[in-house]
Amino acid sequence: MSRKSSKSSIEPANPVSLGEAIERLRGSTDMSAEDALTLAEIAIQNLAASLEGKEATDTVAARTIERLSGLKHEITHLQACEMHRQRIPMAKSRLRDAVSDTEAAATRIMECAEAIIAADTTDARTYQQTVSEQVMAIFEACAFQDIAGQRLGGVADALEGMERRLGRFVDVVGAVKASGPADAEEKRRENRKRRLILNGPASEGEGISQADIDRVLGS
Amino acid sequence: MAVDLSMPILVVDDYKTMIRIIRNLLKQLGFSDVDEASDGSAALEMLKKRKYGLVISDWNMEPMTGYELLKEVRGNDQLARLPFIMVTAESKTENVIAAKKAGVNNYIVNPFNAATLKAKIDTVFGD
Repeated sequence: MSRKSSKSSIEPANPVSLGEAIERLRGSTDMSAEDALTLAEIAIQNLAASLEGKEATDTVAARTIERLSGLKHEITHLQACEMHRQRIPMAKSRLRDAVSDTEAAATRIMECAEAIIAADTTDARTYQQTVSEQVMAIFEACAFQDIAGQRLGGVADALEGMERRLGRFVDVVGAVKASGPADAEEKRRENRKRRLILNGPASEGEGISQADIDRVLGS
Repeated sequence: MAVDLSMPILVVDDYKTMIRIIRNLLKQLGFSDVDEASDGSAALEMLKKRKYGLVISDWNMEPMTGYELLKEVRGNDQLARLPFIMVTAESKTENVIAAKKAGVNNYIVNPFNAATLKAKIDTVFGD
């Protein structure tokens, strides 16, 4: 039994005793979350059966089983594997491509500007031709915006899809609001950002202007 | 103090494109002796080997940031008075205040233009 499996190897729809379920899972070295939830469902069904007739027990057991089934359904629909294996790598790849596109375009535009600055001005006709050619090349290089825009649009779509799935999952499981780093590497990066005041570029409307900076510095 | 156009300037940035932009702007302003370093630690090594007239540094770099470089420079007896301008997209007030406390001479928020760069260099050298 592997975590990668999307289906549990024990099925509460085909009731088994708790002992049988445990026996089936005994050889497993890597129990999935779905297996654990299924085992919990069977345990509750067994418990409810042993306490049959007590109304409170039946109600709580039914609600718990319903909740566990819902949780399993949402884990499946979260499609975390697909997000992890396809959508996130695709988004990262497109972001890297967009960075590469903008860098290539900026380099090309600077090469053109440098060529214009370095051009010989003594021969007006040759100079005009050089300027004209370089300006055309600048226009061509600006086409990066269309390609980068499409790549970034794809990333935004992928993020929106993941946001919807995660939002639904959070609602259904009633996830407790938790913050803080997920692992040691993330913790190290967050500490570094805080210690060295690495906020990154400010969004539109955030951050302070050059005039405000000058006032703070008194320059 | 007049601005000496022949002084060596060290530009520190981990983006080659940004270094090229600043180098070109400095060239247009008349400065011809421009060296480059890709992060604070590389810059520190260069500052120990050559006497520069001005450092223009980005903030966000790895492994050593421009902020750490600034503090290293100000903590070094030989480099403590070296003019230091931060050119960065970090535009939160806390960054500017921290840079001021660490002893930055001026602070330019990116994106910027040639006129701003010239004005800040002139201010640093009292022109």
